[in-house]
Amino acid sequence: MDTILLVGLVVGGTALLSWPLGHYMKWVMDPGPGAGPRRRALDRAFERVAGRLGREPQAWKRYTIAMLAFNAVMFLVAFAFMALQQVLPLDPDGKGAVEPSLIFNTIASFTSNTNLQHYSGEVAMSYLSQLFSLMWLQFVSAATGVAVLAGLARGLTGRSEMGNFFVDVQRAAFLLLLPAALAVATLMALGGTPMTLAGAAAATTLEGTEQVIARGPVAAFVAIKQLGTNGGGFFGPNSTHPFENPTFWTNGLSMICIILIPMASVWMFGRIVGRMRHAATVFGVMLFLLLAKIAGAVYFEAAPTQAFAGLPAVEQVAGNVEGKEMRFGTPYGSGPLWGALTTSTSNGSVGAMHDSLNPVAGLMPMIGMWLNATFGGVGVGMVNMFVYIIIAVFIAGMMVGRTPEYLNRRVEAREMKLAALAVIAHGFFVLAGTALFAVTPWGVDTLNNWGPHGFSEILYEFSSASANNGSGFEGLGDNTVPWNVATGLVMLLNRYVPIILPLAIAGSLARKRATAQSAGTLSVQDATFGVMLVGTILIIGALTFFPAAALGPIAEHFLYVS
Amino acid sequence: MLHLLYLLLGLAAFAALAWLTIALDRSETD
Amino acid sequence: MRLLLASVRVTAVTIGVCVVGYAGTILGVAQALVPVAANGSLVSSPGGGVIGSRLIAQAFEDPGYFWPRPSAVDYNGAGAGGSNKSPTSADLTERAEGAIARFGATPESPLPPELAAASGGGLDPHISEHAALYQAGRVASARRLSPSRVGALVRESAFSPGGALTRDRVVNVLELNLALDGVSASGARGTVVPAAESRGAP
Repeated sequence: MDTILLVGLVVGGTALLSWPLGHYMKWVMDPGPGAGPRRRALDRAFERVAGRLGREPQAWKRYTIAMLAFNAVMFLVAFAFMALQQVLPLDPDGKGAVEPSLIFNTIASFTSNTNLQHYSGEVAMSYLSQLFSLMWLQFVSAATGVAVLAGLARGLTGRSEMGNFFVDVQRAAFLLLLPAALAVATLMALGGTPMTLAGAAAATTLEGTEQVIARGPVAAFVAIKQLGTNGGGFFGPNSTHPFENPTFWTNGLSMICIILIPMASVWMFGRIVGRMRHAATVFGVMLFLLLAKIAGAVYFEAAPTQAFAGLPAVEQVAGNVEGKEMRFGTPYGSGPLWGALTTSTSNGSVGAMHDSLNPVAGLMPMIGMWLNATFGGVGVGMVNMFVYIIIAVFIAGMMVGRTPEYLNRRVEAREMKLAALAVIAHGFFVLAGTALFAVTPWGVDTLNNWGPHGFSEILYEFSSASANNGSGFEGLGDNTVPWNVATGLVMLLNRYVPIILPLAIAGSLARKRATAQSAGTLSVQDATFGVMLVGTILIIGALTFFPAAALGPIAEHFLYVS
Repeated sequence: MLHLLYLLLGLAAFAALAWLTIALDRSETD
Repeated sequence: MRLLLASVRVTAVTIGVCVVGYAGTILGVAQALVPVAANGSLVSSPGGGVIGSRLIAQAFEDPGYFWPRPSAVDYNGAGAGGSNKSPTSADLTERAEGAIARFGATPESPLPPELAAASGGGLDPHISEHAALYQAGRVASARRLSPSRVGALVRESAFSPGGALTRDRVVNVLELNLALDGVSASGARGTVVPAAESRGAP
């Protein structure tokens, strides 16, 4: 039926596109000595922009510090723009000042590629903030992610220098994200997405009431929002808003953009480390888990809206229609598909209201965020998967009594400690935050739904912040100081800690002597390893998060739906 | 005022992360 | 130190290129190629006033007009949103009972569910062809038109949003109501200038 066709076209089509894009990304991020003169001229320009530091080769610590310095400046500059929006131009509708804790939360959010929004764009933000603060951060945070993956990959080839972060971030921003965004934004505009600096339009409807219609520079914003796994919408309801996503075709294009660069990142990684079969194995693992989540979401969303079940005067047709838009097709098609895609990556945009998904259908996005590596964010998805790979390699090595090694370097106690820390950090932030807010008025007073669904709202919010996703069960009244501060800190900490630790692992591995590949070496590019990797991911995820899932979506399903 | 406090909160997070990075690097070379 | 200087320089260049250059380019392209869509697909009356946007739902309560889906934000085009209610919520049941009363639905003539459920953004401009035909009887008698005439208008207006990829056709409520006004005199605004857009494919 048409849902299967839609899934096949979007996922399969993007997978096909990701192959040449991954090749291009390698050319962009790691041209190597074989690069042509024009390519080298671009790099020299990037080096000049960075000044004296543009030419310095950076080992892992220096690379990471440079990345943190740039991201701190990102935070500062974007903060300043937003804090001054009421006195700066490009504010035709006079939005006024943004409350300070909300500025903190929003800037932390967009700096960390999360795009969690405790505000509604057309209500709170001037065009200047949307463009110079938020859209700018969407470019450079995504570029940071791609740069970091390239650095990691280079480190894993044994080079003690990971590259130059300032050059890498420009390569990603100007040669990858910019051209892609130009193309996508143009297509979105041609599809009906507004692009104007004029203020809201005032209309008098056919029945004589006044309707103020907010608009703005939407097409440009939406393109990089999707391509960079950012996800923050120009408007509050994100891609359910007809201006943000006017047609079935813009909907399809948006979904393709959600997974395009994350998929291509896996191929780029494979090309840089020179292990394409290994990359294919990893790609297969990610694809398998993604399809499983899509299947779960679609299946459970096909049950009609439970609230209407006792009303014979309402047609009981397949699909939960609450929170969906008609132009996207069946309610159990695009909405849950988008939901699975957006949370398997760290995108976080929505094509249907997640708070209104059927309980187990709403669990699929949560699982995506808990695993955070089934394609994941641009660049960083593969970085997260790298941690799982290290753990899987270690466990496998222990199981067969061989020294664990990855890409010809031994994986020893230090690497394992760092990997374990990375995994624990995510679980800690999600569960500790949820626990705190579930027992205090900080969370309890802000709920939009009672019972297990209310718990789910809190659980989802911390999952989203920690995974740098940004979607939400949007009934939650999350624009409060406690929510803003708590999620702001979680977003920042769990963005950079899971980057620092893998880079440290790569730095540590690079300092070891390369071991020769032998018949006894555990292969990381066959089906056995693939199964091992899936098992590792699922066991870690299940052990960490199953109890929370049981308290929220699973309880709701058994109480109300079955 | 309040804005400055929140700005510093964010920058403090970055400082903590930088400290973590340096600490990790130092622990390796021991 | 030099790290900060390098960061500031990259900041300046990325803002210049990725914000000013990029947004400016898209602004120019969009305003040049698709000016009506770029400014919000606005629909005007012959008198020149703006009636609304082709893409944004507006409230209709007159029995002589087709009614759109419920909106959790009361069709507020400057503050959109969904209900965010869990699909198991009693609030949804209550709202559905209100919709049943308003549309006069009965178990023999049950309400199409999207007319009881709020859309994601609160501004969904479409309803299914089925939901429009469901209302055709009421509209026809309010306007003293024949039901088959109204039904034909609905069928003419309906389109498949995803071409061959979607099965159920939808209608744009505002455009349908404008077409209605063009046909029957009881609409005070008369014929209007619709946006010259092709629906569907980019």
